Amino acid sequence: MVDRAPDDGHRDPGEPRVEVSRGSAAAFAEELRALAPTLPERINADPDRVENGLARLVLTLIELLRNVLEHQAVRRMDGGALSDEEVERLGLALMRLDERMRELKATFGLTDEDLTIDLGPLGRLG
Amino acid sequence: MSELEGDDELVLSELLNHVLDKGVVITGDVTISVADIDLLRLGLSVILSSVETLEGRRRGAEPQA
Amino acid sequence: MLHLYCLTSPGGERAASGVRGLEGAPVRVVRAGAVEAWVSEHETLPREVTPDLARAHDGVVRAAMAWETPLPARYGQTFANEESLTSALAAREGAIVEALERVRGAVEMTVRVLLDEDPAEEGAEERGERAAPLAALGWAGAGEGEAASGAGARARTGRDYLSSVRARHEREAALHRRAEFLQARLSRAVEGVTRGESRTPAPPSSRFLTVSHLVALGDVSEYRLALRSFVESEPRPRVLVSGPWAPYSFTENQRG
Repeated sequence: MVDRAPDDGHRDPGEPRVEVSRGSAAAFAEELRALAPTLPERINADPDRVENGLARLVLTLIELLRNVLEHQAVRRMDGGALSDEEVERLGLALMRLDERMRELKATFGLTDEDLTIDLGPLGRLG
Repeated sequence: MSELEGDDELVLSELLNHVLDKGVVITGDVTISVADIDLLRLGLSVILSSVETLEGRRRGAEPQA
Repeated sequence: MLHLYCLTSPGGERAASGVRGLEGAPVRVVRAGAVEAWVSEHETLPREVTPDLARAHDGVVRAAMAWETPLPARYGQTFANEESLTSALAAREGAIVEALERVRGAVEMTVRVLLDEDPAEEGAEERGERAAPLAALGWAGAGEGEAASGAGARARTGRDYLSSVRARHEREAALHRRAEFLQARLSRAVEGVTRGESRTPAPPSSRFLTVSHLVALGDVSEYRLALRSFVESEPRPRVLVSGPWAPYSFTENQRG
């Protein structure tokens, strides 16, 4: 860590600007557009919309759990101890859960980015 | 690196990314810790703002002490 | 109601005078012990955030920044009155004062690195060909699901679904490894000119690594130079750098 600079002499850092490595502007614009295609409509900052906060909380936790479940299911399938019928049942159940979650996310206008949690020291799951 | 001239879309994306997804949240949050390590921080600003708004309205209707 | 822009040490009244915020509302400071909040008062505020509102919010944060590095507030925090604001601040006063100390005299620079490129694609770019969009390369879009599977989802077997899940996990693991590798290289390139680093959380399928650095005001040009060594190293990463920002990513206890 760098020693703290003295407080006096603080000056206006100026306007933020954006730079991209050569030839990358289009790639970034496309990817960022995919992230937030309808940003103004998607964000509802109305503090009276209690459902927004609750939905986000609940869906985040479900997605967290669902991610763990899918990782476990793949491991079990690859482990070879499940019968064909069991693999089929497991896969169908998770597929239906995935479809249901897509509907719920769409209903509340939430994307995967909205449901990301920072696990800090735990980092990633799978 | 090349400086972007007037690519408002990218500048706006970056601005929104900072203003909407980051920044301090003091209206209310829950931190779930295990063994003194903060694991989950859930921003509940929308919920608690609603509660405070209700409280404020109720308090506003009461006579001044 | 009061809309909150940022938090500073006491003494910002003069810096805030004349500053206009959302919908042109005048900005004032509210003192709460050892911290001050920059706010504006509104009857109502629009439900949806527009680019103009977001710019107005950051505009006030930058006005504070010209005086002292503030802790920017996330957009959308409103308080019924000063009392509810000051009590929320009082509950967190110690942490806020600590955070203000941490960011004193510094700014935030944000780096985004594309994780998905195939080095072969860079040759294509130079030859004037447009690099293939991700979808064409077969990578699933975040939140959109596998393009191929969407239409035939109902016709697929459970085993097929699990196989596609496995494939997605493998792609995500590759993205993760690349992100870790690039983050380590980036950190090495800029260490010595940064006071702190914060990685923005993203879903495992995210195509970006996003890292923010806390940089002392006087070190910004050196920081940009240091970034160049990262940008020019092989294999050439595709990088977007934005800043200087107020320290939106450093309002909590981040690893320095």
